[in-house]
Amino acid sequence: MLLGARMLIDVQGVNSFEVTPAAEFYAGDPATVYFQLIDQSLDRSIDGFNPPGRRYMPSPGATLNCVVQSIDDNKRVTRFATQPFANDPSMWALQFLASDLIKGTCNLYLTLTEGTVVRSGTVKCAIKIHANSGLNLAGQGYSFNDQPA
Amino acid sequence: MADYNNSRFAPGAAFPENAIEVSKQDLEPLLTPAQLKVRHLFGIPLVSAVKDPITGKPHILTDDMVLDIINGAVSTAERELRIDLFPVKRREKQPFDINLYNQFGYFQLEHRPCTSVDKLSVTPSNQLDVYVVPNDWVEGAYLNRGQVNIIPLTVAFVQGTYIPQQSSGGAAFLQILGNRAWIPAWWQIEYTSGYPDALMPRTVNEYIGTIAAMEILSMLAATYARSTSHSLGIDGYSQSVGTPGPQIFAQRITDLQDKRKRLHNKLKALYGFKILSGTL
Repeated sequence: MLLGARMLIDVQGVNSFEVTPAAEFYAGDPATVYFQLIDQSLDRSIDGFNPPGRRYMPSPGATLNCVVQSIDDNKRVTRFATQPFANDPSMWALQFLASDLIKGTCNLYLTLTEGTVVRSGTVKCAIKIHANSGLNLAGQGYSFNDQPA
Repeated sequence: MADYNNSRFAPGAAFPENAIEVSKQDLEPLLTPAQLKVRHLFGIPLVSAVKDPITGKPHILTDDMVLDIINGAVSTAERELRIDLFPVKRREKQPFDINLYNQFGYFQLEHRPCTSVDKLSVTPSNQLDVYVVPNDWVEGAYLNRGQVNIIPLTVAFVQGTYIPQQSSGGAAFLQILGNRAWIPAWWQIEYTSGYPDALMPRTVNEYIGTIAAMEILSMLAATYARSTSHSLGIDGYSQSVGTPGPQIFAQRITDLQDKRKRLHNKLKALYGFKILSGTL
């Protein structure tokens, strides 16, 4: 078992969605990112599967903690994902708030807890949050007076 | 991960260099497979010429595979350009050099583009700080190119304690250093290099895309290597067909190679150093 996820867009229900290499939105916009848990060790690309990975349905009561990684502690998003559809526990939704500082190219780290079993997974470059201006100054979001505006 | 609440940042953006306002959007997250196809592989089907002998279907280069190649291209680009594209927090040791110290504590960092100095200290090998230079004295004006200076001309506050400027006693520790010419691994600098949030200049994405496209075309071309010509004859009629075979994408690969070289030189000139001189 090698936990991973495939990112989804245009999610209307358990039978209506598209697969995308990365979820994308603009920084500062509230957004819901959907993804489906998969076992990356099965149904691989080299065997002709597209998209690769076999859907993984965790046991009832499972929790999924998500970390949207940033090198900066203040920007990193750590949040539990929710299951938007009761009849497909493999699908999860992660909320982003307008107040979140995170942006850019982000890895998604997953921690799935099923009873006493805890599994970790990584999705590289899973979330791409575009800057909503032409500039991206290091230190944006801090208050002390010698930061760039 | 890292805490940047007490870091010294560059005066402006990493790209455009030191910009504080721009009218043009030129930053974007890492190239997506769709962008790679549009920008570099337009009109080229990402399907192998050789079919799977078991299923009879051609192999398809899926978005998942393309993404993996893009991630590999990022690593290649970082090595070739010798700059960081994704943010990296580093800890670097530098010697005390009286000549550099007399030039306002001149430091040249190893990795660029540098976006913040997070801590500048005198730290021996046991990692216990002997002295931490107040960040108010760390000058980050030339951080993009990896230059750091200590300019203790202002008062500094460290954990609520007032530290006077150089002319007073607060910097006595630094002044004592004037008795030594060179001390190895004296300074320890923690800093962050790479583009903030991995938002790349379009040019960098072009470079990554060029590397990835060359890799993909090379892989696809190999599947055309089975034959370069075939002929068919029936009674008095015959037909022969010649194809470029594995050279099918040779022109495109050559174009990409030229572009890669041009972009490499431009980006290297922006952040790299072709000549480095020191005092030793």
